[in-house]
Amino acid sequence: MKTRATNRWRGVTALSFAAGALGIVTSQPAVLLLAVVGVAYAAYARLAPPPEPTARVERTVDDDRPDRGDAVGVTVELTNDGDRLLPDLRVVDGVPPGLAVVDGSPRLATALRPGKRASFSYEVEAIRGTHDFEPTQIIARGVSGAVEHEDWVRAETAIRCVPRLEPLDSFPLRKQTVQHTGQVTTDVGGGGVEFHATRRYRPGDPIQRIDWHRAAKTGELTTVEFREERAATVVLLVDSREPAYVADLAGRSAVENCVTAGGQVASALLATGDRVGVASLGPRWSWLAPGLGRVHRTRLAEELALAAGFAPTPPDEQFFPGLALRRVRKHLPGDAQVVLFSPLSDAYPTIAARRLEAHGHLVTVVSPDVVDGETDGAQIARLERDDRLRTLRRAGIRVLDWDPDRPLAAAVTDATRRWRQ
Amino acid sequence: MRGRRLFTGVGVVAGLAGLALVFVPGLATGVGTERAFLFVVAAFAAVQAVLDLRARGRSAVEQATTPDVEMGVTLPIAGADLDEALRVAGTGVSRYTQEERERIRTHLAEVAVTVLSRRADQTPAEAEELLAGGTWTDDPYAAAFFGADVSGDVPVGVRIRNTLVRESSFSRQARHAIDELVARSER
Amino acid sequence: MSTVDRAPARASSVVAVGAGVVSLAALAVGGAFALVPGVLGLVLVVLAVVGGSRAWLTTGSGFLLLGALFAALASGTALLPLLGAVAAMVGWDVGENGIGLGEQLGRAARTRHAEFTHASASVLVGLVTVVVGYAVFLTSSGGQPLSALVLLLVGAVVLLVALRA
Repeated sequence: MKTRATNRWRGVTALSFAAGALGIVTSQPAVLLLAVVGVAYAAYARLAPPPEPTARVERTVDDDRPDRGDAVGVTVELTNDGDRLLPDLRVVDGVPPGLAVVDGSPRLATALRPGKRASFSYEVEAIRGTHDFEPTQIIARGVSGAVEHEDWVRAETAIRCVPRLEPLDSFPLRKQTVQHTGQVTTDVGGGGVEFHATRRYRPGDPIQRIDWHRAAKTGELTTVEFREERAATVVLLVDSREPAYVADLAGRSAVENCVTAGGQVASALLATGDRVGVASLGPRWSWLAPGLGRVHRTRLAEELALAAGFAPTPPDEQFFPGLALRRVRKHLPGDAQVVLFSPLSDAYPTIAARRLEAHGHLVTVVSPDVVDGETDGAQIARLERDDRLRTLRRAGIRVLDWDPDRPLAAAVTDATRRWRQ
Repeated sequence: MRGRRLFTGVGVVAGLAGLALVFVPGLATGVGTERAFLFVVAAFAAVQAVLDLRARGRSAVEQATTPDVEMGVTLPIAGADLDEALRVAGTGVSRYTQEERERIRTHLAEVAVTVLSRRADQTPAEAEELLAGGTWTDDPYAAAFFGADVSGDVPVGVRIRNTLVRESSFSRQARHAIDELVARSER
Repeated sequence: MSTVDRAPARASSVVAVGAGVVSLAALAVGGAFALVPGVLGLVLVVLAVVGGSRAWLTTGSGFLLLGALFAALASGTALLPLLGAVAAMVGWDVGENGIGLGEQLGRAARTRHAEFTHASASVLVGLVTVVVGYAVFLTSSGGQPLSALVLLLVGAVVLLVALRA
């Protein structure tokens, strides 16, 4: 707790001395009388009782598990626990950094008699992640304002927002030569989904695979073979370095776009039986190994929403490019494909993508285009980004240049058509 | 601190004097006619008034500061750092302005090389030569930005007008160079 | 939202200007001699609460107080100049509090209750000063020399303050 003298009344005695001097010199009693005004207010400044630190804070939130974009109401209640009047109580609530106040004000100035309560409310807009409220700042002054106490009071409250993975119908992966069932189609027959051919029954073939129609018609026992669909192992890598934290003119963050797109791609790939994991390419590390199933899907959604590696606020920590890439490669399963989500606001993601590709991990880049406006800087940024797209494509890496104003699904459809050619 | 004690002292004297004048009325007439004595007291009071005012002027009002808690995450716009660098380097007379301008020139030269070598289908080395010679563009300001000597190409009338506008030659050249590069990349 | 609006609290600004007007009206008893600094003072007070400047507010109130001194000098009356001086002090106190509230809490916050409490206390001190001061003045024209009474009063208050501290 900090106490300070405001010095706001300093010099008021000058009035008394001036009145005294002028009144004596001019022998004018009415002038002399005015000296009492200065003395009265100087005395008021000194005699008014100093404030007591006796305020209690309670905070309630009307929804601590909101959806993304919801307006969450916060109500703060102050109580004077002491037995003296608090004549000038100023309160600033500890809104979590990263949350913006969209309605009302998180500040109040009031006077509280002993035992009395005052409350105020405001609304914040929920964004992805865990948001802890910070201590409330309380500034108490005496009635004359000559002395000020400043203190911070804790009221533990938190808001958690875990958006669901948004849907996406499909996401094309690159062709790979590996041995599991999933989405990448090859021409080796085996257990799978798409019809391929029939052959003579061999003892030991699964009963479900016998073509009973033909058996009924001709009496032959044949087995239906499906084109083996290979499961891919995919790691979604999100660029979370400081240069990636840029926004368009409407304030929409590139990293938010990347994380949302990552969730959509995860949704599409998990639905087709591929193993999906997530990782963060940045100073704040995050890793979820590729997996399958409903439990894994939930864990993936939570990792994308809450992990420090995907936080909506830019990092302070220093980024070591060599170290980071090595760490990613160490965790990547040998047969894993990588989908890199980055706005390509600097050159590093292109280097990282090409290195990963060179080490045998097929890379697809999904890049939200957040360069907005026609200033000199924006035009140059656009030129540089276009050049990076071109460099990646020339290296054989698939790039999905996505305008966030359009749905990702539309961009995927257009790109898939282009890639098939 | 000293002022307050002085004031208290004055107050004590005033109080005693007042009591004296009340209980010994004879003194009042005596005191009232002593002009010199009065002027001394008045001068003393006037000086104190001035001192008090100066003390006020010197000390600022102190109070707690409060942070901007209402703000959410504010992220930079793509290209904002170059815009800011151009703005600062355009006006500046600071010691660092020359370094800043060189930094911007180097950055834009890299961009120019990629644009030229891609569009005009040239090697980076050839592109650098074009930049140095100023032959990559018809615009004399854009060419001058990268160091080419094309001073002869600007008519005198335009040059006079340029000195009247409040834009430094660096800013003008940068603006032209960027416009030329953007136009070239879209062709 | 670009940044928080920290302009002075509205109610206090209005009260400060209102008190300045009252002060100027009281100074009128002193004629042009008092009105010149008075008008200048009021103008500065208005500009101060609009722009949020403490320096202008203090200077403006200072000019109003000077006007009160001149009014007492020119008219020889006590009540109106006393009222003018007190109104100038109240205007300064409430106005500076409004500026401070604006800086700490911003325009969007509810601050009315605290402003009201602060202003009420200031007005109360002022009223007591006017009543006691004018009573002393009236008493002096009855018997005791004014200088004596003023000195007594000043001495008493200052001793009180010194003892308390």
